Amino acid sequence: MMAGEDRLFDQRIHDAYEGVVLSDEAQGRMLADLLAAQEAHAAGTEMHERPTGAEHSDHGTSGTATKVIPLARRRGRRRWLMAAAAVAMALVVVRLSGIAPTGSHDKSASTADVAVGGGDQEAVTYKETEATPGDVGGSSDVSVEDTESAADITPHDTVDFYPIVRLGDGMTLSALVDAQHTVEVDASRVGESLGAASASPADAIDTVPCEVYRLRDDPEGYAVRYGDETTYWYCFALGE
Amino acid sequence: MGGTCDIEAIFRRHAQTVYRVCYSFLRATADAEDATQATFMKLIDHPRGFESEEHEKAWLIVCASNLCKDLLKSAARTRVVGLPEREPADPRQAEPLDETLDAVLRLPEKYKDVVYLHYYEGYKTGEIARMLEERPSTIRNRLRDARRLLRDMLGGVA
Repeated sequence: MMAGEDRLFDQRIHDAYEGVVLSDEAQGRMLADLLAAQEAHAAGTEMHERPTGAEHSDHGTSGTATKVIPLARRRGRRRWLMAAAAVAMALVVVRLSGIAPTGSHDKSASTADVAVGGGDQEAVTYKETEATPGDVGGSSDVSVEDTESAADITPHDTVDFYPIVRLGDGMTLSALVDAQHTVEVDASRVGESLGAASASPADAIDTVPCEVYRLRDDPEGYAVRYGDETTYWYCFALGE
Repeated sequence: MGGTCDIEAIFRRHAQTVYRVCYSFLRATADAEDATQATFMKLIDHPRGFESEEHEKAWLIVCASNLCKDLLKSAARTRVVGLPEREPADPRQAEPLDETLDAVLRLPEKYKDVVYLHYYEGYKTGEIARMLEERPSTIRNRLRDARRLLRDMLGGVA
């Protein structure tokens, strides 16, 4: 009986997707746009390799083809260095909460010379060169790599999967890990080990300790490492 | 490899599949259509060869899945200021759905692609694991957990 119920349930899930259908009209529209984009792309490639047109110029004019911008062209994404642990990756849903960015940055003192890392790792002193969370012009004295052994950090070439988050003055980052663990990161506390972070409202069950680092290679980049077994890095940036 | 691909043929073969993947993440027709087109645009921008139609399909599914996850995160990070609720307020999400589909779409993000691939496309856990570059045990656990969540949401078997 249980197996039969399971089959029925599975069938129910399967059938649910049957109602999700791309309309003929939408298909036609998309296909037309894709073909136009492909044509423009091919024309652009040809012109780049071989000048066309009857007119000659010292610059080698490239013709008159226009570039079709597809409807859903995404903005370019920045790549970040990210360490992927050997265990399963956690998906992170990021939500900003707090005060809206005002466009101006309060100059407030922040702690410097904070020791980061710990456990079996050699502690590295992190010096924050900029005092304000919103001011990202400086660079830190320590990079992500400095805080871990080489084996612990693996650059991941699909890191652009993870979003870039910009924190303004007074804003905090709430990172939900597996929809169960939540970490809040206050940009003014970059470089400190946040320990047991506070949870976001409603759905958080546990708190997860984390550490925040400023990336040497990107003055606007920060990384959060969750102090759980996954040692999962999530990169985000300050701004606004 | 190089040159152009037969985008029309590929689109006709897999548009519905890609759309379903996108819809399962984005839960809105317009967003899913945009994401579907963006997925196929990747083939135009970066043409590539495939070993088979199955390989082609798998690539598109993973591409669409990753694109949607990225879109969701981008949307989440731009919603600033005092949102006490976990659910982002997106007016385009308000579309009537049947109970089961609604439950499926409400699953946490990490379950959406595995549930679709297994229950609708019929992929086995090993195949899904290879596509998503996860361990088979991870996929099995996610399917088990998703099933449990769906049962809870739906109050048992229909």
